[in-house]
Amino acid sequence: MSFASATFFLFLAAAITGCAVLGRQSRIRFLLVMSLLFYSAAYPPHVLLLLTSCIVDYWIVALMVRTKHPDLRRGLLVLSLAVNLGLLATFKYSGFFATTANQILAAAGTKVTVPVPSLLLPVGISFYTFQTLSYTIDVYRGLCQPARSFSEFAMFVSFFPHLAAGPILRARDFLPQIRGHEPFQREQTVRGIELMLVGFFKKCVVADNCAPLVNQIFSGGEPMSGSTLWIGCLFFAAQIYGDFSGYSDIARGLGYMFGFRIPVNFEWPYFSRSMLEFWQRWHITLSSFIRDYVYIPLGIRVGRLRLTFNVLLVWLLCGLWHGAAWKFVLWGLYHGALVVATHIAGNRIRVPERLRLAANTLGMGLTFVLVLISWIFFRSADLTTAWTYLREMLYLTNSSFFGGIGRYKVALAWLGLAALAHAITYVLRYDVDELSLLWRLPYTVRLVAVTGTIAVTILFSGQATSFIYFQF
Amino acid sequence: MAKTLICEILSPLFGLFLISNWFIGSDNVIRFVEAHRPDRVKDLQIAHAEGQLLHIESRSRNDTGKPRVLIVGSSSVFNGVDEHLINAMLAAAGANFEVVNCGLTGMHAYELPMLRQWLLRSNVAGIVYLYNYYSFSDDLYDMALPMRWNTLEFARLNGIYDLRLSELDNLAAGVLGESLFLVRYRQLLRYTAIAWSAGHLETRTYPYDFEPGRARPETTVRRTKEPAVEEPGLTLQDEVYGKHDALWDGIVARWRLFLTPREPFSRIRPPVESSLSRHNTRGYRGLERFVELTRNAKIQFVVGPVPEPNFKKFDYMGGLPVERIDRRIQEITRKYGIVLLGRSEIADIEKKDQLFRDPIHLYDNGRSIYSTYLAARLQEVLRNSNDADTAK
Repeated sequence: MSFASATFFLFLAAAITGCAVLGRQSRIRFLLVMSLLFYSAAYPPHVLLLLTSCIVDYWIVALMVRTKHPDLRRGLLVLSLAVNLGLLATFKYSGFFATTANQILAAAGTKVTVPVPSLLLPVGISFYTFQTLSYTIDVYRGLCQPARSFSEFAMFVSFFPHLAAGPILRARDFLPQIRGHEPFQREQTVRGIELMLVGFFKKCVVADNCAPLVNQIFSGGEPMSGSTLWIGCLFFAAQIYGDFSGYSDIARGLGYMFGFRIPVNFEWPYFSRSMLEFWQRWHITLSSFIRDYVYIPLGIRVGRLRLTFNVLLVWLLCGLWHGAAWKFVLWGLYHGALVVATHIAGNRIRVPERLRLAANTLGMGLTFVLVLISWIFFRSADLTTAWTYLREMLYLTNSSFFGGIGRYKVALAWLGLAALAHAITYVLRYDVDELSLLWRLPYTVRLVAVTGTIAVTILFSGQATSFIYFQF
Repeated sequence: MAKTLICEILSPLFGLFLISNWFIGSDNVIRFVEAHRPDRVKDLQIAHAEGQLLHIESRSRNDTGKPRVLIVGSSSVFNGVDEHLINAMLAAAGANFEVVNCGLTGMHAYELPMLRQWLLRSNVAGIVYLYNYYSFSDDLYDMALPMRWNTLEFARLNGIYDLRLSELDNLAAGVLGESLFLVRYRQLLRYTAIAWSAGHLETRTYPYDFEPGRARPETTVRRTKEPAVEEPGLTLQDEVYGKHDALWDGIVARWRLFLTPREPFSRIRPPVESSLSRHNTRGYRGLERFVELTRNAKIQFVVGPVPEPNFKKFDYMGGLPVERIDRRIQEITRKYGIVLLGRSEIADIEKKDQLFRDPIHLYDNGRSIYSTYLAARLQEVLRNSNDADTAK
């Protein structure tokens, strides 16, 4: 069920009503049932998969805390990793691996083929698998208390705001909140509504209005000039940011409303001055998960060559996490290479204080262009299409480079306006995430602001599309 | 907690309701938007369809004092009925009625009761429903759901019989559209606001999809060689209803129907097949419900077909025994004692390809001929109705 669907609003009304009338314990169970209902809207049988993952990890951790034997504890951890990653590999990667194996076999001249399974990808499997894993690993490391009941744990994994597309929660942050949560606290609710308004605006007005233009340019149906292809990238950058950060904002807003704090996932990433900083501001919960559970365990006090290898390996995995396709592998490696380059450059280049502003601006521009290029791999149908797109886009000597740009004048003007608004909010709001702007307004003004924003969002929203990160 | 819910959640929603229905939905805004509604261009098809409904809503709010006769149907009616010509003919014959073209793109018969708030008004003396062969299917028309919707009527029409999980989102969109003017006419209002801000807003100059006087498309001139008649395949609903009596099979079949994703509405042929399949599709049930409603509202109700030739290029009903649909309508009209305009009366129009611009829509000359026929028949029907009332 998408947040931007009419059904969701009816669902939300039911969830709010239920939470308002029930006591704390019943409320948790009620929210769990509602979350499973929310998840089942996509494809009901996949609820069983989600529950399997929950049951396995809950019981593995329950056994883990009862035993003192280190080998047994380690064995249980490995079992949890095997089950969770096994499910992820089966549902998400088996088709990719089989297809790749067939390509290799065909290239080797053999007639043997591996059957390619076609399994329906469960929505949010990459997100909830990481969450259940974080629980087991954190309990194993002694960083987290085990859940007190199955419903508490299942609620952590399946709480509907973050279930389909994150942010990725850590059990050690969320489980204590379940124990003491109070929904519909006034200031928290206002902050939640504010975040939801921003999120819906980003998704419905920005992302959904960019989508048709992006689809048209990336479809490759007609020859496009280089400038048009750059415009396509620019609009996709706006679309994916509006889509994903919008989803995260809505999720966080819902969390606030129901009495939970869901972590920040985006902090104005397009204002990053380097690729390293970009990944500290884009999909923060994924970056920090990979840092804590993959990168650091691989070893950080190692030689430069090994460190470079580790970084590239981590980014390769990050690319694969986004999708089972070579284009995502390359996308991940591209980012990994840029992160390594940033490291090296950061160690060697010292910018004098008087040139800091110019260097920051230059860094911001360069990072944005590099990110734009990376989106080509993300958005294109496959590697070949991405390569063709990139070649035509960078072929600056092409006489028709600026051809057809006039068609996008109005769209670019709207995008410019949105970028300006984004920049203003960056200046005003950066680093004050916890503070609610609406809460500081007089009630009547707040009422008018909320109502007006809803009306404008309804009026100017584009054709509804699914959230991009649902496919991951 | 209660204070938070009332002040921070319910109050803004109530505010939205007021802004949407009282400010944006005010007569002045409606008049402005209706006068500038867009023509039928591919990208604006939804805005165009919303404009058709707004036209009906606007007319229903604007009482000229004359009793009205509404001609309801799909885009065949929207493009095939010249209300000015009919009004002129009725006025010349001394009939004090105002005919309103209430054609709505893709309208199905199940929508009739859902449009009751705009059709069953106190100043309406008669309603003429002109159907297409696809009108009586089980399919819901996706595009129409957020705008042409009435939750209670749908619940009454549908029960839990045909409810499908994949339709829930459409139904929820319908509920929002029914409640909020802003949602119901979203695309149209958006088009108007953007076109106005860019200085591109133009007053609509003709009431049809196609500009009068434009050459008729070449592709429609060849008539299909009559194909062999085939029975349409069973729809999923047919299978469910076929197992209606068997308890366990019936439950399993219903559950299957509930879970099977709905095919998006993309071609006209499946609804024609669905209209042929059973006697109790959503379409036929909708028509019968509307007969009841008009009877309760004491409104004269007339049913008839719109002319539909069968061109080779589209061929959406080629080979199907579509005359069965006409027979089913005959049964319904006979059962309720309502006037039926027979297909034989328009057979001459259906034979002449040059009167059509495509398989669904009449060309300018076809519209004049068909409207002249309708005017004559309306005079007759309304006179008979008056005579009957006088006799009582």
